[in-house]
Amino acid sequence: MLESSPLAWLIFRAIRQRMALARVIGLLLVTVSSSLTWAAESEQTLLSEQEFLVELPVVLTASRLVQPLDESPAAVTIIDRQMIDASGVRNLSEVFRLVPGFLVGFESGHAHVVTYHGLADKSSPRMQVLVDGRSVYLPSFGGVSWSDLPLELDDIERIEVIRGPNAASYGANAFLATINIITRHSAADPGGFMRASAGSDHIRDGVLRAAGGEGNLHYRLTTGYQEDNGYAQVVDSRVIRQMNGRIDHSEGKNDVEFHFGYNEGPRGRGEAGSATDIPRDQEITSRFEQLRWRHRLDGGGDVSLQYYHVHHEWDDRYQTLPLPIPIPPFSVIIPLVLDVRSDRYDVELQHTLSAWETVRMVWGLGARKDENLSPTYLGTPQTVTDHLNRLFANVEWRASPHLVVNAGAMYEKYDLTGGAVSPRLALNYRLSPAHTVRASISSADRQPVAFEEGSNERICANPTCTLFDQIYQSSGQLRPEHIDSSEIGYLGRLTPAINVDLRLFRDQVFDLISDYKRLYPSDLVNGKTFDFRNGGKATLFGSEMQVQYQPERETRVILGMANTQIQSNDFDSFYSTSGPRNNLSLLALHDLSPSWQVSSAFYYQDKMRFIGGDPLGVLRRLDLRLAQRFTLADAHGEAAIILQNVLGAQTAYSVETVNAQVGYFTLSLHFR
Amino acid sequence: MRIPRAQEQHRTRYAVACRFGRALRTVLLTSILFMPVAVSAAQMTVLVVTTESGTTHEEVLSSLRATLADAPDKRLSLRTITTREFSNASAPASGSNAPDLIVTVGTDAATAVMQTRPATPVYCSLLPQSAYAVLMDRARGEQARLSALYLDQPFVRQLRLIRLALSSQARVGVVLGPESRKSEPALRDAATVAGVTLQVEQISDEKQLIGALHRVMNKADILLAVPDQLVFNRSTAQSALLTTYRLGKPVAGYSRAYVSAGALLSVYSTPAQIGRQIGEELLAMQDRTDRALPAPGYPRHFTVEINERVARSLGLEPGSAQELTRQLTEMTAGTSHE
Repeated sequence: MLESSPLAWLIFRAIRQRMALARVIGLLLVTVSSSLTWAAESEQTLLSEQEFLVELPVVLTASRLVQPLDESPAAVTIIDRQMIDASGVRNLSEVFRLVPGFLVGFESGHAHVVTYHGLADKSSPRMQVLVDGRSVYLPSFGGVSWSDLPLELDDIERIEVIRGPNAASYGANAFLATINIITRHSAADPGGFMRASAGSDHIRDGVLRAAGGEGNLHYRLTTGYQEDNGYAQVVDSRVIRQMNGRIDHSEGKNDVEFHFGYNEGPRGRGEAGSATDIPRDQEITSRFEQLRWRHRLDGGGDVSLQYYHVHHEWDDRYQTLPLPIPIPPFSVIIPLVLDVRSDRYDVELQHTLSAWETVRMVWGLGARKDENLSPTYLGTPQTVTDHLNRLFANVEWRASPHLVVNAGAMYEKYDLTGGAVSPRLALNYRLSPAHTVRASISSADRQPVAFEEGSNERICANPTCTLFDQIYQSSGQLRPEHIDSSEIGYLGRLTPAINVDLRLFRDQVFDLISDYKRLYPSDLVNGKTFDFRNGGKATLFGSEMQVQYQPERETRVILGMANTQIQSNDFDSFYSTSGPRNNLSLLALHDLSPSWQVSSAFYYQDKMRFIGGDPLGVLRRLDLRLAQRFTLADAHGEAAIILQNVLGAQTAYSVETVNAQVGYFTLSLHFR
Repeated sequence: MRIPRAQEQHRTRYAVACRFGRALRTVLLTSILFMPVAVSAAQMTVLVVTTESGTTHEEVLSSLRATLADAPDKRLSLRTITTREFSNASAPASGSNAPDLIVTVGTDAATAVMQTRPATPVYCSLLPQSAYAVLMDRARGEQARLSALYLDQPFVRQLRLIRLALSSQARVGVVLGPESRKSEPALRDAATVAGVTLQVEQISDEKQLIGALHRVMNKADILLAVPDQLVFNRSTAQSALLTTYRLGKPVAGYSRAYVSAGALLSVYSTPAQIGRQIGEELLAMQDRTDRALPAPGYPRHFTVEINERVARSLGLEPGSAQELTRQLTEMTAGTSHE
């Protein structure tokens, strides 16, 4: 048919020619492209055998290696991300219930008390708490204001709790125990993250986080909001607004970390019906900056230099209700300025080295300046400044393949109390790869804080202050509190799934500082005032056990138990009843499926009484959590429902602070 | 013809040795004349081309020679030259002294030999599998008889070692770059065979490494280092080892050096082990009537090394290197995988 139509034939021929042309062009293209590919391949350098044969610089030198738990000179409990999530807590302080021997109380919804074994009043000053190596201990009143930390639970990588004194490694106030909180690296969670929680007790929490960076520079910025009504019978509502950030930079042998944070908001204070301690809001401001530089030395050691500044203040100004006085006009309204500002500046240099094959050493020096300003509590319009300088060293000697000796000491020189040495010696003997025993002796000091050493709290009823109530007046000249501790420990892997940590301890504490009443004849109210003096003594002894059972990846059970006895010369047994005879925590979690997880936390505590608190009965607490992970477009999310105090209300500190049954729902989304 | 300088030096240096060698050859040739014809026919000449004359290649050669020496009844003649000598010679693999087989030692040697498109069969050794794959691609079937003994270890072997050393629940993290990403399917297959869970992050630039390590190690218990020139190499090894260690997780390396630098363990083949296997393959080849090359494959002999200090520091008990080697060898012998 084609041949019969000249036109069709012409078109057909044209197409054939085109196709031929196209074929030629195509062939050319293929040839060119293949020769291009060949050229590209020739340029591409092939992976050489050298990659497999060449030497590498030793990165993890002996001095850089972290001590494994069974060579550590102290008993250590690690709380990891999974445990924090599974426990269902909203407040950081609550996770410490999972540590054997730890007690958590709530003087109010925002004043949390965390202590080890006991000896704690509402400020609990006998423990050191570090966040990324920065002490968050309050230099004004001591202890830690847990609600005021610029720190989000979601940013925590893990928490190491060193049970027992550890001044040789952590310095002043590493007295009964040390809590070391480590936040996640800024490169760990790139992208956005948000969490929203809501529940009974007017729980309204939120977290927003952005993290990013590339190459050797990463950043993270987190903002958080937390709100609840607190206890029904306590003026303790709180609103926490916080923000914190972290920048990590690494360049060759140098790593630089910069951390900063801010926490503010009103915290309810006072007592309903009181004329002097009227219900009101304190305004909290807490912030910090921290810079750390780490340098890897050619010989395998490291040098690090750290600086930080922590600022904490509460603004608390109000007027009392009309108060009766014995002179005309027989009634007065007193304006009160209860502001407290404290600043801590700290700089520390540390050098880690491996002197010989079997010896590792860390030594360093540091200087600290504390500034406290509190016209009412300290009775002076001036800022009170204290300096503490320290020198420390710790040597780890692998005496034989089975025996590791840790010897360390810290020398501190404090403005108020002079110089003191806190030594430690520990022997870890490995019976077999799975069983290690440890014996250790150590001592530590707790330096008095500004209020203990220099309180002078006087409330004037008239402008000339001829009429006044002297509430506190320190005699000063305090000695540091001192602890001598000895322990025997055992760490064992009974089966691949069961790890056990046992500890027998005996702590002798001297020169405990406490407030004592003393006569003050010119005092308007009762002729009495409080003074701080050394005087208390206590001996704490007992046993602890921690068991981790993980039969499979999906299931984990963590048990903590402690039996503690406190003997003291106290006159109304406020030290000897400040801890329970037995306490226990049991956390169990199980992944029902890749998306569903269920967990429960049970806590038991014998009767006890925080110093200044009310007698507490036996505590049994059960918290439950059910979570579902899901994927929403590009985002990974988790929805969880948490029920706390399922077994019923529990008293936490005093008769007013009763932890009611609480339920809340939380939803989180992480998107890249 | 002008003798190239390097070759000239070489000749001067070895003149005495050669004269002695010639005398020896005469003796040998004479003795061959009196031997049965069948044995004479089995004579195989092998040209070994090494990348350089460094210690690594000396180790391969001496181990190869030792293996051959253990089988004295075999008739193998070995001639060794460097890549440079090979490239400078006009036709090293042809003419009257044409060998029956060329064995290359190292990536450069393989590259140089393959460029000449020799008619002689080529057996490449001491080169990574990825390099061989590229060379084979370049040859595009023109090289009829080509095979290789890789230097790297099969993924199955590496993953099995991890499983033996850590636990059967071990989750293995891998960061792949532009080159190593080609291995992902093989890696996934190997993970299925070895029975481990794999977490893979792909990156296209060295800058993304730290972020990728954090992401992948969120869900993994150990990092398997897979060599990639752009992403996972000598210079990035430091930051990879440090980052992973700070997360409390170990690294499985691919060389002895990785273990010294801070990896928990490595499985690798030493140059001597490679030399030994070349020898074994040559002997086996000679036994085959068609002298067929062995199939391209991974090394049979390997070494497991453990960094005890790192293991202790991370609270791990991987077991002894000997025991792991034994278990790994048993597993390899029992299956056709790898």
